[in-house]
Amino acid sequence: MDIIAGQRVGEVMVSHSQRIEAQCYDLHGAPPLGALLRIGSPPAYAVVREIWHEALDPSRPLTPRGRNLETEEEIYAANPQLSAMLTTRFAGLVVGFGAGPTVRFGLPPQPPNLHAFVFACDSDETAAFTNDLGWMRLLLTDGSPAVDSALAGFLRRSAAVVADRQGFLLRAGRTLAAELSRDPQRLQAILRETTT
Amino acid sequence: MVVGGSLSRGLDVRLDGSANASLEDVAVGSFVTVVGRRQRYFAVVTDLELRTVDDSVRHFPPTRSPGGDDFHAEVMAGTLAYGQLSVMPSMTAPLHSDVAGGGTSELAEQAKTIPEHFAPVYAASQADIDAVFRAQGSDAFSLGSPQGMETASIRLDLGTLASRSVGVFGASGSGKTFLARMLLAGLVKEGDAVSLVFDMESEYGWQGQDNDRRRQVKGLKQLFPSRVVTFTLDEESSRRRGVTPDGVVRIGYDEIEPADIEVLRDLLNLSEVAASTAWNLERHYGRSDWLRAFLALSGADVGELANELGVNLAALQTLYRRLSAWSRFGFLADTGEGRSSAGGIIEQLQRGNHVVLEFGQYGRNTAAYVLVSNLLTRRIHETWVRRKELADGGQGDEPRPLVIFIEEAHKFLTPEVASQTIFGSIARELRKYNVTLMIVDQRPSGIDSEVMSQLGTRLSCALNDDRDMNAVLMGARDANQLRGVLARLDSKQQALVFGHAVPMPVVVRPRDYDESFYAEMAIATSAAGSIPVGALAETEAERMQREIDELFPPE
Repeated sequence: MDIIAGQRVGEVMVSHSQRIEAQCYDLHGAPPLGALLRIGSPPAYAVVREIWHEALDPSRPLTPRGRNLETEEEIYAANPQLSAMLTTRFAGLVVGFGAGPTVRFGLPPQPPNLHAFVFACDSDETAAFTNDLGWMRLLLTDGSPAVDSALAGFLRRSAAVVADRQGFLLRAGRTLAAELSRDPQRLQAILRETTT
Repeated sequence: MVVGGSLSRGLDVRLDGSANASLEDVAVGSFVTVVGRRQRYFAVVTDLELRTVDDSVRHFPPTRSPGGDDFHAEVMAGTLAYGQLSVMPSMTAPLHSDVAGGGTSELAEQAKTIPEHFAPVYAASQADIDAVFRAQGSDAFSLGSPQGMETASIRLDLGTLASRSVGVFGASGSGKTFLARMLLAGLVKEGDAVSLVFDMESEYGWQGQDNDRRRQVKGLKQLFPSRVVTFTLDEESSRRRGVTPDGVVRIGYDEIEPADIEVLRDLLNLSEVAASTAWNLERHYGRSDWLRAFLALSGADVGELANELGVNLAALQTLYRRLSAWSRFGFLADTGEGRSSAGGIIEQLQRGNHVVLEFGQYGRNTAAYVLVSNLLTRRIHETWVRRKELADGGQGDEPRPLVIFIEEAHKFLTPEVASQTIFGSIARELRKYNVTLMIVDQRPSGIDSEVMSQLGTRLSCALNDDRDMNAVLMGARDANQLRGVLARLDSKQQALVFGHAVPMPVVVRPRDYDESFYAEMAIATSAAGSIPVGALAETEAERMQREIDELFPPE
């Protein structure tokens, strides 16, 4: 399912200062890894770090249903209750927040409220985050291995919309290099993922 | 920007990755300006280094990205890996003084402080260079341009230069002769000090040879016909070259002393015993006649003489054989004549004229060169010492500052003989008697270290030998830093200048010795007539002759 920029995608279910978890309105309807999210009002901004699908009721584990079916779609067609039993969730790392008319990088004074609406940011909002990339540090300090891919995803998608692609990638790469000066291998891995 | 360092070691300057500054644009020896909070610092780049933030960058260098471009390297260059300069701050000037406008209220002085962290560093401008070398004024002698700044020029105060001994060093072909000739021309132009040039290859007087461009260049006499007097030891050679010398120099046998033989011991390949027999000869024949009498002997007589004196026969024979070669020296003359030619030179010098002594064919004979220059210098030095002492006692004028110019100095300033030659004592006693040396040499390591350390200003072109480089830098401040600069001079037309006459060490590309240089010198020639010291001893007849010479330069 394609997510349109600016679209509302879900609500916050778990909220920490540096991390939120949200549940999508639609099964398999999460914004992509590395997408920029706007959450609640006053807005907090987060980058999608991880997406997962699971059963709504943890006491009722899933079982295979397609042994005698040809395609995956047929499973859902034959079991219409599934879309109500299953859900898609995603986690975002908070990187900034709205303070009046401007966006500030860092963590908001309060975490987003529960049930706060989660939007996929449009390109204007994303541009604000490509001007100053100092917030990337907040992502890099997160221990999750998925975060590097999330960062690469953000850069790749941002590069596609900025005017000067090469200039942007070089600036982003140098900002990253300053953060990862002790770990050139990790730096190169992220760069490789960004440019391919 | 400045990221570290110390006053003694120099500053570490990190190249600014964002300003697209490249290590390849910065040459060792170039000038930079550091703008501190209150002071402006002038510094010389002494070393260049590739640094990495973390050692692992060396182990995992950037790979080519799949697209085939050097994106990874581009990202890492200037961030994880960067260039660092070592710069040695030498001079400071207060920041608020209008350096760019050439204000002269505050002069640059020796750096006793260093700038703070993160002070920005720029390539030096002409204004900065002027601020450092400003003491000389804009009409001072221009030596050449600093490295990497073709339009700027380094100016030297030749009066300061001449007040202490000077060394010009460089491997053969590195341009030291041109540099030396330029300094001499400058000295003549400035008109304060007089110089005596012992011109081994006959390339300073009338004209010199540019071996690279295969052309003739003007010598001092051509540039300053009225202020330079040429003498020759070898009249025939001068005539062959179509040069009319102003005088011919003869050395009397009676002027040569056993001490002169001692000095020449290595050159003549004499044993210590053989050289010392000269003293026996002097005792036997008397001071004024020993050499002539000795050389007049036949081979058989030498044996008898050895018996008579009680000296080693073989030693005496060796001495005889070696010295016999001297009888072919056309410049050796009978008793008496020598004094007058030395007197002629002294008279010209006292009159304020510069003297070039051409050696002609004898220039190829180092023994002759050493012998003659040593002898004449001794006479002249005696005169200067006497006059200086008289002047100190209130009788008579101070003698003019005299610069004695010698080539192949390592031949007579070796540690063994430096204490015996007159040059050794001149170098040591500094300017006490208004006599200084200008030494041109290609093997400074052969020169006595005590003499080297007394050289006020040293100009060094490229040198090939490690020992020579160490010798040149001996006793210099910041020798370690300068070592790197010296080792990387171009093999031609670059010189490191440091010491008394320059406020800070500087790498200079000497200016071309060409028409524009002639022209600049020519202006000085016409002005020189109005300098009272130059005209003092000039009679009416001499003045007319000088003017004739200027109008119709002798062919």
